[in-house]
Amino acid sequence: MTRLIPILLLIALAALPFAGPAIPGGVYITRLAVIGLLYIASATAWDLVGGLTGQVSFGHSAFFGIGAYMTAWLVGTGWPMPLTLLPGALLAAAYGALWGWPCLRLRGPFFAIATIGVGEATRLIALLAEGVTGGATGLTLPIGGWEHTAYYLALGLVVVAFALSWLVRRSSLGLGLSCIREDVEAATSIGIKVGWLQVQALMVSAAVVAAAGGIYARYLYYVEPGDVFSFNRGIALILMATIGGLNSKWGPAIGAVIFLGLEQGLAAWFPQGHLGIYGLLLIGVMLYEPNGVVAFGRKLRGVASAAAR
Amino acid sequence: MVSSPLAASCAGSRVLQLDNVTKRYGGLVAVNGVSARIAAAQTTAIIGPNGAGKTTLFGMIAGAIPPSDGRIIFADHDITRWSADQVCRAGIGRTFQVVRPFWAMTVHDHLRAAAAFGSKAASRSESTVLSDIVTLCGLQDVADRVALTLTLADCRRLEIARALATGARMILLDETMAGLTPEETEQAIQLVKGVVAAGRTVVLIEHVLPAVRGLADRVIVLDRGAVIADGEPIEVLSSATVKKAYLGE
Repeated sequence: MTRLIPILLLIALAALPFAGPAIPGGVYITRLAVIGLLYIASATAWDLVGGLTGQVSFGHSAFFGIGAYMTAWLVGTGWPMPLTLLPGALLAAAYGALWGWPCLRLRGPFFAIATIGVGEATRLIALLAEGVTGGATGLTLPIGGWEHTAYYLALGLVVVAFALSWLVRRSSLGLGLSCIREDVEAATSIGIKVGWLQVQALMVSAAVVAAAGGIYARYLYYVEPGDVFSFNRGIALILMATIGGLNSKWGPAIGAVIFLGLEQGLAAWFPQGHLGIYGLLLIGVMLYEPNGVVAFGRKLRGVASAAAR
Repeated sequence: MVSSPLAASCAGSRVLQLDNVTKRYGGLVAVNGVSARIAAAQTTAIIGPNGAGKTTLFGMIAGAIPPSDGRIIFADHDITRWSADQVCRAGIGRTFQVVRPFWAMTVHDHLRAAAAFGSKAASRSESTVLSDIVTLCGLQDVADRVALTLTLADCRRLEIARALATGARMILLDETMAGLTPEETEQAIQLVKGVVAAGRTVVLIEHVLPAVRGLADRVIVLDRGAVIADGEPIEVLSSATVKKAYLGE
């Protein structure tokens, strides 16, 4: 039964753009769902580094921005939009390897701080390179007609992100990354190439997040460094995965949905206040359920089944 | 002791050769010119008072600590500057003085990871080999449990199993018996005997002297970073220099 839930959910999501106009608020929900799907895919991909490998990255905004800009440029030169996602993903993976190789030698807070530097440096470079990125004005894409395609591309990306996450976790790469998360020195003592394995995880993760950026650019018709490279994007991924449950199959996706709900529900009333709510939520999760909403749900189910008996 | 790399390559029974291996931390000399040859399929014990440099020497052999001077040759390869993961893949497995299992992972996953990433010979090892290791190390009942739930004795056996699963020809055991009950110590001695019987070379650091007597074919005594005795357990353990190093004047 529980195995059917993901399939039913996928079918429902695939039908949403058609059912949208028929249900009240459906069009709004469909538009929101594109963002939600991109969050789900990105958070799931982020978790390969942040959860499975235990290396908390604030720098994933760089990958999102690279993907967004790659799509904007290539669409501008006449590429068919879906094809632009691939070079964006490849460039982001290469960029990840470039800074991951030195930075992934660091652990814990040191790695996290380094990624803040990488993310912010990338944003500033993009902002200053006006000739390439349009600077603070950004770039505009040809407008119109992409909502449905963007939606299905986002849905496809979610499937890809889950498939990659599943493949990595059941491969020896995933096993090695778990060892690295638990104890780097012990991991090297059993022959694990700690640097290379982590770089691989970062590259896979970067590619998915970049594809999300590309779809986002096409969906919004507009890219601007202050948006696609923003520090908040990097933080948002951390919040989603942590609130939902680090290093778990469903956690980052559930966290992404919660994040989107809060963002939409609260931002309208408290333009800045919603950031405070995230902070409180994060503190709550870390204090009472470090394994996130997923672990909390599992506990509730345990209590419920014990009560039923 | 005159040692030449040629001698090592000619004599197949010598697996590990240390030439004047030295580690300095600023002015402090932790390991001072240690030279030794360790024979295959034997058990060599390294003993000595606290701070003698035993664990530092292990760290250098395992590639975790770069030596300041000297050479380390393993199976005809100069591994002096190799990284820890390279040394493992060349066939040296180790345990840690303070246990370092992968806490959130099951015993079985420890061994799968070790087999997947260890020495090339081991990557072909099949699940039957892993289950042999589980049996040899007495971990059958806890194979599906995460390391966090294991006792200290289980963790120590898990580390030995993990080192074996890498396919290592030589296993470095760092105080595997420390903190164990007499009964657990006896089990650990039997386990090490089983490892040697399986054709692996064992080098161990140990403070439990009855275990050293029961296990070692040879004892090397370190004091303040230097070798002060080297030979048969009975003669070494009864020598006056060694007693002085351990107990003082």
